[in-house]
Amino acid sequence: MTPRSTPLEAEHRALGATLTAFGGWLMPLRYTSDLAEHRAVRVAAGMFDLSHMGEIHLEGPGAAAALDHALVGSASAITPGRARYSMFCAEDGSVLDDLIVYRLAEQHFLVVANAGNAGLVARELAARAEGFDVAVDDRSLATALVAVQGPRAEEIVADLVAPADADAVRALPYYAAIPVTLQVGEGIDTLVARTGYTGEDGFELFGDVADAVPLWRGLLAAGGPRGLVPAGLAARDSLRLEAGMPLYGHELDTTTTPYEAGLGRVVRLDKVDADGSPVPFVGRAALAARKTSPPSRVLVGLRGESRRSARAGYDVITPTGATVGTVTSAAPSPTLGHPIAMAYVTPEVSGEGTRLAVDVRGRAEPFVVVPLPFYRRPAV
Amino acid sequence: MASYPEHLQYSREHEWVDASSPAVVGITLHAAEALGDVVYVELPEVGAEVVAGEVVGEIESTKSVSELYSPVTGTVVEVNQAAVDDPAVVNADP
Repeated sequence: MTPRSTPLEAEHRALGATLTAFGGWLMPLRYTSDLAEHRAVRVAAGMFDLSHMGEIHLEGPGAAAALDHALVGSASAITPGRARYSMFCAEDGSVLDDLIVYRLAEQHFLVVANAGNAGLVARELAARAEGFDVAVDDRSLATALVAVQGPRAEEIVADLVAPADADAVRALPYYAAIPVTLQVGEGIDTLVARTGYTGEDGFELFGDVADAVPLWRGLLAAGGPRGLVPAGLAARDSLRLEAGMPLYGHELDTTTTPYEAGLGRVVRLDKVDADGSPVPFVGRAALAARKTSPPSRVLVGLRGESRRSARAGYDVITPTGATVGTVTSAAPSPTLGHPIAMAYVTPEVSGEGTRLAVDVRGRAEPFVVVPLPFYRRPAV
Repeated sequence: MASYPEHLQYSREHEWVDASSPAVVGITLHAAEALGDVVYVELPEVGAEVVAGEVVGEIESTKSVSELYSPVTGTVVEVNQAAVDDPAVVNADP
């Protein structure tokens, strides 16, 4: 199937981007250099076209209850104006997608799913919402999403809104979202969320596809003088890896539950409905059983002690050559200057400081278990 | 175009070799651009006997790994340690 185009494809081509197919979409892999784009996000700002992601709206008196049933987390517990990271699991507890749920109003939620899973999530959400008083509307193809991430992101976005809104943007808490009209052209209505996938401060701006190009250009104009550069998927991947964030298809897939990935906190076995009864959400029984049983594998961070990077899929071995796991993601860390990797390993070798190795194309390269994340942005 | 000097010979694997003696071997601008940021270079050992078409090393970028082939048969007398120490030079000056 030919990949879809985002509304910004012509912009990426004009900027000289190398495009690649990802999740069914033609996306910018890089514009200039992966390393330069990665560094820009850490020191100034980078801008990402995320219009490939899925946006599913749930509206109605039963919206919260429907999501409490469909997801492993508690949607009812989200205050309007806030968001939560959650997961969409199957009956056996395996992860179908990881996503962010934004509560836009008491009875209005926005679920943002990974591009490659958007169709599945939209269909399954609609199926799971049957019987609840809620309308499920997949607006993915009508929604453009642009992220601005980096220490300069706040001043860039604040610069594009009316002075009255600038304070609200600056004060927006992490994992909160507000509707704001950008002062671009006749005005561009957006939902501005303080969420991101880089480990830096930043915003994700949701708008109508018809406004995608002026939104992109408006941000570039405001941000360029502040060091903002367009950044592609290559930089996005190395940034989230440094920040210890999972990528569906690597750390999370249908063979994992949230627990193995160290994300058991998203599972709310204790959530109750309006009557105070435990919510029989999809996957509850399997996850309750998994929570109390010993894990067969654990997700760990690995720091490379030599200069060669591991790659996803490579075997993790002990110094004596026994295979104890598999690398899920790996790259040289531009910020830290050494290779980093995430891997699933058996519990006995998951302790911090454990010396392991990765079979890198026939050679055992030394890696040591370290805590995640690898990188935390400096406290301001 | 200056990027593909005519005094060099080019292989199918996007490598070049010059006419000097000992011959100098490198990868083309096209290859460097296709790789993206080069982060690791593995070259053959000095003294190694290499055969045209054989894999003699590796060049790795942030997103991919490619094998290095010897375009000619002979003995390695020197390697570009600068490229090993700072792989970015491959992008800056292939």
